[in-house]
Amino acid sequence: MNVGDRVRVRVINPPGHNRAPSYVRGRSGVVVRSVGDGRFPDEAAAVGSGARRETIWTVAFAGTELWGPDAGPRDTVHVDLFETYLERA
Amino acid sequence: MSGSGHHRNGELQARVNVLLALAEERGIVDREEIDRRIELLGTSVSPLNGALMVVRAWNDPAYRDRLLSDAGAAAAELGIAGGGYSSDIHLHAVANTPEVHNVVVCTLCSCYPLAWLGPPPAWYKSEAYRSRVVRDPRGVLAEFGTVLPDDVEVRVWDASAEARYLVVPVPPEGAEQLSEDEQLDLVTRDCLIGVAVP
Repeated sequence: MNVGDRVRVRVINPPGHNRAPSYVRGRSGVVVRSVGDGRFPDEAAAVGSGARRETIWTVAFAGTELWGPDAGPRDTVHVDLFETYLERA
Repeated sequence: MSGSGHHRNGELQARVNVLLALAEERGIVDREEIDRRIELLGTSVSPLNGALMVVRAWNDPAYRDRLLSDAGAAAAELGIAGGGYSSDIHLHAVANTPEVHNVVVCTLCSCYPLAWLGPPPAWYKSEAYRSRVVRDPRGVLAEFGTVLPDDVEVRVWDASAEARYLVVPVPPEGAEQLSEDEQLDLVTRDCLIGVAVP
């Protein structure tokens, strides 16, 4: 995965902690930045500092992709997402 | 309502106290370290830090480039250490231009560049702001008195992982004739969040 890639947020509803905001699940956007890496929160919530580290990407979503045709045509929402939450679109 | 809110705060405080006592007893936290961090938040971090960075960026294009490529290092350059956070948390600055306006939110909780700017305002943590600014950023900005032209792109930054965001506003016309102190007065906390412009 890299900057410029078109990605979709996986539709997931795990029983435990999760850091993919529900309003972007299933939505497509473009990777605009690498944030670096961090402890994968779904795992960290359960096991703490032993959790694996994972790359985080900033994904830009068009407002209309998230909210439909009523959204501002020039509005975007940039969301930081762990790589596990993403798949290529 | 205020009565039940008060009761709820009391309950929450009691829970925090029990958790804190247990964590201390088991050596997970150190009470002095907690006091040190609270002291830091109350004294050495404030929105003035962000204003100092923005004003330097207005007056020094090379600093502006460094701020936009590594805001944590650019803060440290001015003696703003941040701190109190895990080393995973990085500061990132996003610049407004005549074509782009940035605004920051944390929809999942209330992530904020607290280690650099101090505690966030209460409205930043409210469900109303967090849920509405992603859905209707222009409407929310207008309620703050910031009305943007239709042809300006609005970028909302939802800080849901390890990055913390700081908005670098465009200097208003004539700002270059002001003293640095006068420029600092223009860069309010709300400008750094992106709900206002100087």
